[in-house]
Amino acid sequence: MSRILASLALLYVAILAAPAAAWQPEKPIEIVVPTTPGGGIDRSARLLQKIIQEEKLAPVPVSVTNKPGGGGAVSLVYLNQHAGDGHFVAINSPNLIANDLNGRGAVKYRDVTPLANLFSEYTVIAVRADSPLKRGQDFIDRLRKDPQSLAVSTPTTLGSVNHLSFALVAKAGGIDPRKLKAVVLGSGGDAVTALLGGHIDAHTGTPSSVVRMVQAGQVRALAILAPKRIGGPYAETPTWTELGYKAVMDTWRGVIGPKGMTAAQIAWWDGVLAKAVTSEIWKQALEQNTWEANYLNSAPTRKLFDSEHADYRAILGDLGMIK
Amino acid sequence: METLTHILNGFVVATQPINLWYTFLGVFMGTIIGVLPGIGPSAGIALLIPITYGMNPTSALIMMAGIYYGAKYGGSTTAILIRTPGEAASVMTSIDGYEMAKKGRAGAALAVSAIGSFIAGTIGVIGLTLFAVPLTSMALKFGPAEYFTLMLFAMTAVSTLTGKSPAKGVIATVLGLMIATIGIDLQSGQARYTMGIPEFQDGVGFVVVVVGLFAMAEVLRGLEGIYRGTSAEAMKIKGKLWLTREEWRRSIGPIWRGGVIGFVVGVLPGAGGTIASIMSYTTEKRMSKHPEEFGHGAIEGVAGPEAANNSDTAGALVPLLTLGIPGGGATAVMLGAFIMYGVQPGPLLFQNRPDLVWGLINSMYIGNVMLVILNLPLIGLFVRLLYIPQGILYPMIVAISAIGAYAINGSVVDLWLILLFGVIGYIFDKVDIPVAPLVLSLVLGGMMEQSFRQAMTISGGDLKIFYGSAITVTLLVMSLISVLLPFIIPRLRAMGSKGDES
Repeated sequence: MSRILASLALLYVAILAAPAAAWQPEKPIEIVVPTTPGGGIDRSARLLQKIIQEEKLAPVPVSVTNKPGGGGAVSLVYLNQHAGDGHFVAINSPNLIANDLNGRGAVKYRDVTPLANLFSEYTVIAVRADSPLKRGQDFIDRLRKDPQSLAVSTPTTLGSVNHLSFALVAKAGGIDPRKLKAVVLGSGGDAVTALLGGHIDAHTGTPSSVVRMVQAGQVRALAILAPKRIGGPYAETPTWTELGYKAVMDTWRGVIGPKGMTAAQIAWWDGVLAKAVTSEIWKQALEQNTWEANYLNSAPTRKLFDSEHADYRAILGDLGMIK
Repeated sequence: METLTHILNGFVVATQPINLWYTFLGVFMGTIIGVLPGIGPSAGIALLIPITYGMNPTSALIMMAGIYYGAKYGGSTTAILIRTPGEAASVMTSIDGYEMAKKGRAGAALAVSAIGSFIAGTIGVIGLTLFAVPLTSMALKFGPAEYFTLMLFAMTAVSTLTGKSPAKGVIATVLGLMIATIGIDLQSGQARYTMGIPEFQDGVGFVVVVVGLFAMAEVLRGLEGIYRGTSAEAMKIKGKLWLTREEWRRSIGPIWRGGVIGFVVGVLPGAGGTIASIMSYTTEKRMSKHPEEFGHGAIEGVAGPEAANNSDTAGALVPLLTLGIPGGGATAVMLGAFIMYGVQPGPLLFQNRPDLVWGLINSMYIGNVMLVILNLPLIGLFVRLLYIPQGILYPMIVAISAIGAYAINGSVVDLWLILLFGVIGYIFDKVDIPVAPLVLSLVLGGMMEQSFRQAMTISGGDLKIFYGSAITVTLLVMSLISVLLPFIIPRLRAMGSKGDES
């Protein structure tokens, strides 16, 4: 009798646990991209699509949908139209959190489900090879003497990660970030052209935005806003923290789902994405794009978003850009 | 000498059967992408990237470049036949090209576009072959102050586009400038005139505006004609499909000039094909002995801009290949592709991978020949569109425009916008306000404002930056001359004729 009861109880538990333990996608998966085709986010999404399909990580087809507009707002609204649906995920950047603070976002970052961080791109501050600024310390010294003495490009808008990076470094050096000369050029390409042409004194951007010029010896990376040195062409570039100015800024690439995803759905994505980032194609792409491996699963990604929110709030507050 | 060897080896690479095949595939897809409004070369190339993964990079890049310049050939087709620019850079063609079609010269307009594109495309590639490296340093001399004065110079051309009434030209210009301010202002991060609509944060798309102003307005006018029973007879082809001797004579100058203008503008990052074709159009109108014909089917107004927007593509590859800097959307996507294949464009590319660089550049000579062979026979097919009854043609234009506008961002807001701009274009036509100044100020307005403010940030608010370099001074003087010319020339003529009388 007790045996029957026990097995009944087991069966009961199994029935209860079954949906929680094993969620599987039943229809095609859609990866939403907040930009037009061709940019860095779009490329990482299409790479992920390719890996999930070729390595058969999902039992269903995967498609990529571009929903550009509103600095990412349009894609977030679209994502949350599928609340609780594990078939929809999106790739996002720090815009998700910055827009929340500057009053531009239609969806709060807390209203989406963090699933993973794919990789990091720590901001680098670079000058032309013939610049009198030889080291990071020279950069700080010049700004201390006169915050207006250096025109620094911060693509692609005021309040962007690049602008915040410039402000963070200045603040760490005891310089009022509001007094800085941040020149906003429309794209990273325009900014690098202006740097090479000598129209601006320094450039803030991702390591990949100047990697070719660094390799060719046309541009010198002063220091990087990373927690520790990154390798490759930037192996010689010190971190700002090393130089005594605590400043870290990361254009991370997060995977998010709509609000209200179940624990089982999150667990399935944790499994798939953890496998995807170990594939050869992925590792090769990281190296080619100067993307820094930094995979985090869902729980630490949530923590990352929260701590980034606090950090951005502080520096945007210093800049007087909180809405 | 070594370079010459590399160039010759490039021809060996470009003429390998597999690469000829990918050149053909690229230009063929490009033509189709160009014919369809909205879907541009950037999206076309981006969607190909994952498919070409693992392919030989040279072949893949040859195909992508084919899409890029091939799209410029296709863009004129719908502009001429149904007043719908298939490509942003074909906007000027939808003015005089469509008027030519109305007069029965659609065949000639399509032919001159194809031939002009071929000649100018080849001029562009020759420029790329000979001057890629020296031109790089010119592109670098253009900072925000230089861009501002360049835009100022281009803006002075607006007076040539205003038509009979300067006041009406001003209305159109100001409306264009106002539309250009919509969106997040990059310099302050503030939203302007977005009216709480998230789609407006990135501004109002140029293609959306011109598709509305040209195509939708044309449909509304046609509807009015049908209801009133005054609709013009279906456009018929008059004369031969090919160019007459007179048309050919009038086109050859604009094609050469357009080819050079397009290439030079293309080299400057950020300027792009639309600005090249506008500059070519206004240049031709100024140089013409009969400027009053522009806007009413002047073949120069088709030949020049179509040539310019083609050689622009070769120019845009200069900063991409020599610096690794993309000048616009399509080249940015190509840069992504380069990186994906593990090829780093930039100063070292010409040394490290001459086979790839010259194979790619030389494939463009072949691709341009393929395009002209591909496009000329299509003219006979395309002009048959004109024989479609209006009851079918107008809904078709609406469908093509709507699909095109929706394809850009997948946004329903853009569909409402083409309708709105269709109504505006219709009203403009009724009260005789020209749309060309609106197009010009819409393209230039945003860039002009941003570069002005960038320059002012750099200089700390000192206007000296605008007359601090030889380039800015030259451009300022040219702008001044350009503004004064319409006042001076009639007087000079008057003085000349007085002199004759006495």
